[in-house]
Order: sequence, then structure tokens, then C-alpha cells
Amino acid sequence: MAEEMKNIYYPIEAEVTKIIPETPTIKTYCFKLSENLAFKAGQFVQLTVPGVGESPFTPSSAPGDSDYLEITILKTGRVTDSLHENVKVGDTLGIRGPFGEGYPTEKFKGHNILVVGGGVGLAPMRAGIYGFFQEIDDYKRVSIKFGARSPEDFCFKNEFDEWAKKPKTDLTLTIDRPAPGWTGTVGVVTVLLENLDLDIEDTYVISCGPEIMLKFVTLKLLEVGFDPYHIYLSMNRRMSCGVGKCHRCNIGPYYLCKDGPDMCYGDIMDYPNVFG
Amino acid sequence: MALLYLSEENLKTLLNKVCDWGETFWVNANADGKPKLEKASKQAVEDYQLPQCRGKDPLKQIIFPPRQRVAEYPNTPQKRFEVQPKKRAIVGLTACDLSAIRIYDRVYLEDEEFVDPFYKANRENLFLISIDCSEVYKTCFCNLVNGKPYPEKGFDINLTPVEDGYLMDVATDPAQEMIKGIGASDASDTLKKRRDQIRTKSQNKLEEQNKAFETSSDYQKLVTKADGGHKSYEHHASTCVMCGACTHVCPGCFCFGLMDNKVDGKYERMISWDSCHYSGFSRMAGMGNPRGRAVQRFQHRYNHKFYHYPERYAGAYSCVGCGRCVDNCMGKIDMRATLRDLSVENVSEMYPSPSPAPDKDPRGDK
Repeated sequence: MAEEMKNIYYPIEAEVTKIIPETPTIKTYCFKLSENLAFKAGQFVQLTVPGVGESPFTPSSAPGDSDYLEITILKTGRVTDSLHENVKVGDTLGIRGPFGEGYPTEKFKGHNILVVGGGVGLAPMRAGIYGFFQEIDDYKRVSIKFGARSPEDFCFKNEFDEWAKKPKTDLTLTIDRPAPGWTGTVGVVTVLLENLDLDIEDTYVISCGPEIMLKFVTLKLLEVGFDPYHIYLSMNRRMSCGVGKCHRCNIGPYYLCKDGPDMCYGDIMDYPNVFG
Repeated sequence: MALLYLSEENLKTLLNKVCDWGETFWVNANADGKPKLEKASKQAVEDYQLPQCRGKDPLKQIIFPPRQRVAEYPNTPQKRFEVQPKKRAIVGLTACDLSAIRIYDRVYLEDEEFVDPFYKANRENLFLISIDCSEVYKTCFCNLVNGKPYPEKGFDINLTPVEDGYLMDVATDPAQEMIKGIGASDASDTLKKRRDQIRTKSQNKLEEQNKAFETSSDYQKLVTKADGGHKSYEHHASTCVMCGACTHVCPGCFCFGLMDNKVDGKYERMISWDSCHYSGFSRMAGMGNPRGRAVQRFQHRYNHKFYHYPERYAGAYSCVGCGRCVDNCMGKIDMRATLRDLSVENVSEMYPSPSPAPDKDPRGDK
């Protein structure tokens, strides 16, 4: 007797409806999915480039239950090279997921949220930010700190003015090196974490960026008095199966694909090589 | 359940019946070297010989094949997988092989959130005939990882070789069905005592040969404590060439990768055995690698088997002590020595690297 089971390895169809260039190396891909996909902020999906393979990404569009999805992608490896070079509007890719735990937003509610992002790490942060905006009454404040190499390396720059106007929200930017016409802060993103005008004990942090950035952001946050259990880091190591089987994405006994990928720093801090 | 006596003739009748029942594999001792896992057939029953200890191949190739197609995309009706249960039997497994099946079951079958439909199809209706180890190899170390040289559960039928035949333990309903009419008879108390003697003999032999590797604290504690790195890993990994042989012959290693290919205008996705020893295993786009150094990958294997896996699955190791990794290591690395040396701090107190041949004293000449 044949029995029907869900095939976890099969990707649903995702048609590319629009491609938005964000920076010279980052593009946002907009997808129409063949069925609805419900994801929470902090969860990730596996994007298939047909015949090439899969890579894990946290969507950059608002969390929810929809057949529309955006993913913002840096050209940086085998799968993403092929994506940037070959994929056009109208092509069909594949999506599996969502996977992972997502942010414990219930725990965050009633507190301040500090969002720290760097480079393409802004992409998953945008899903988080949209999520906070959807329920802004439940949060005390949303403070956003973004860093990039240069002004043109910020993704979503067209939306920044709009975000800054949202109630209970502030946005500060920094670039690594001075640039003509830039009047804002210069320096890596940790400079924005000096003299925070937030009640630190009443604040949860979410952060995403290169591992080296996460490391120094964490050290700075601890230095200014944050509790390690209030820091959530987007530890996107190489994840494949998405369901805690193939054992390549672990930090200690945690599987990032299942228990993360956004991990509470307090839970992982005692394991070796947390930052690679 | 029932303990019965089986003559050599009765065994042949049983094997014929099993071959008729479904696709059958057996571990055959009638071959050069160590017993080989191969496809069984009624024509070959006459020449078949039950092994006295484990076969040289892990049985994972049957329940978790090296490559398996798991999806075809896009726009195919294969969104859901039709599980076609296969009737298959494996004959001549040992206690360590059965423990290895448990390692897989916990991961792919008993997970509350996710059952792997492909594993389930391979695992269901699997009829298992096991044996007691009446011999043990020099590389066997099941006694060091909570194992015994004879199965206590997980089989349908277990056979203990006694003079002129076998003592047969019939453990399940399908097994009761299978033995109908094969001519088995009640076992005498003398034969039951004989089984105890055989088991004690193998157990004693294992304990004797592995004495030099014993540690005062258990492996989970040792490996967990060494999480930040240990000289034993550096010392024993020095001859490791990261070939991945140990992971591929290991009946408890279950890591895989997903590979996509274009075939005849369609795309297919394969599950393919992977190895944590390969540098690409955890390497990310942009070349970042949390386990970039060979010794980190070497250690990861121990971490997974004795620390991460037991932490997730109620203290069970994902090593069964079969010793196939020791048999197949071209760097002559003995897992027992690496684990034993985690209990000492100085390299001068450690066992030699590469390890002496398994029939020599593992402590070397010193």
C-alpha cells in the first residue's frame, strides 16, 4: 500500500517577478510562489537555482503568510554567481522552507529593540524590522543601526526616510571610510553602539552581518553592559537539509538550521569557534 | 521469546524461505578476507556461510544508499513522495550492526518534527537475522561503547552457533511466521548454557584486548571536556589525510549533502553521502570555514559521535565500536587510542601515532 508523505527535499516553484539592483553586488529578487509560505522573522528558506544547487537565505520581505517573497542576495559564491549572471524576470526557481526557530518575538514585546546590521546583513534585518512595524504598539522603541562600506553599499536606501518617520523608531547609519557628500557618521558599525540612549537592561538586540562584524558588535555590546541573553546573532553558517540532519551547521550541539539560525549569544558563548 | 534449536539443514530451509519472502542480502563468510555484504539468492544458499563476526561493509548502504534521487523539479507531480514499502531482509548482522540501525532510526524515523520518507521506505518491512559474535576481531571495541558481542534486541531472529547447528532466538511476530515449517525443535538446557558460555568467552576476549584503551571517565565526558581542543587530537590527526574513508565505512555516520543536476532537460536532486572530513563540508560562500583546519574536522567527528549526538539522543553514542574505521584508515589511526589519550594531558604519555598494527601492543615499544 502506498502512503503519501511530504517530501521535504522538494522545492516549490518560485517565479521571479522583479529584480531590484540594490548595490553593485546586491540584488533583491521578488518571487511569486506556487503556494503560500508562512514564515516568522528570523526563519530562513533554501533557494534553489535549478541544476546548480541550493543556498540558505532569510527573506527580506515582511513576515507573514503569502505567496509573495523577496530575497536580497549578494553575489559571492557558486549559487549566487549563477543567480546574478543567469537568472532573469520570468524564470522559475525553487524554494524550500521555512526552516529554523525565528526570533522569540513574544519575549521581545514590551521592550526596546536594537537592530544592528552590516553590509548584506541588512537583508534579513529588514524582515525583522517589517515585523516590528506590523506590531509597533507592542514595543517600546525600535532603534536601527546600519553600517556599510560606502553610501552606495547600503541596501534599501530608498526606504530609510520612510523608516525614520515611523513612530517610536530611529535610524542611524555609518560608513567605513569618508566619502564625498557624506555628512553622517564614519567608522565601523560598533561606533554607533557608543553612548546609546537606550535603557540597556530593557533592550533586546538582533544583529546580522559578516562573522567578523558580529564578533566585534557582540564584544562592544557586552562592554557597554548588555546581558548575553539579550543578544540575538544571525549565525548563518552553511546549512543544507534545513531539518537538523546533515550536521554541517552546528555550533556545539546546536543545529543552526533547526535551533537558529538566529542564536541567543548566551546559549552559544561557551562553545569554541563561535565566530569561525 | 522462543528459543529453538536449528540444524544446518533447517537454516538452509529458513534462508530459502527468506529469499522467497523478499529481496535478501546477507553477510557471507564464504569469501576472501572479511565477510562481505552481498545480494542473496536461493541458488547460493548451499554455499552460504554465516559469519562469526561483523562483515567488512556497513549495512547503511542498504538503508541509506550512497546516492538516492529525492526530487525532480520544477513542475512535476512528484511534490509528494509515494512511499513504496520494500520487503527486504538482511542476514548475518551482528549486535553492532543492529545498534547502528538504531542510530539512524533516531535521526530519520523517530524525530517528532520530521520523518525522512526515503529512509522510512528503506527501513519498513526490513527483516533482520542477526548472529552472536563467536569470534572477535582485533579492532572490535563494542565493549568500550556500551555494546556487547551479541544482540539483545533489534532483531527478528538471532542465531548463536552451537555444535551441529544454531540456537535460534525468535523475537517478533513476522519471525514466528517465517520459521513455520522449517523444522526447528525445542532447545535443550544444555544448549542454552552453551550459548551463555560462547557469549561470555567473546565478552572476555573483548575486554582483554581493549584493556589498554580503557578510560576512567566515559567518552561523553572526555570528549565534551576536550571541546576547546586537545593534544590527543593534534597528535593522532597528524597522519590523517582527510580521505573520508572512516566516515564512509562507519555504520553510524549519517551526514549527507544535497546535489542538484540537470538530466534530460529536467532537474534532479540527489542525497549523497558526505563526510565531515572534507574541507568543503562546512565551507561557506566567500570561503569562510568554521572548521578550516584538518584537526578541527578530525575532532568534529569525535564531537559528533560522543558529544553532540548523545546530547540530542538521550546519551546514545553514534559509534558502535565495530572498528571498521580502524581497519580502513590509511593513516593508521586507532579511534580507541585517540579517545584513550583524551584522558592524559602530555604527548609523552600518549600512545604512538601512527598506531601500531592492531595485533601489536597499542602502547608501542616504550
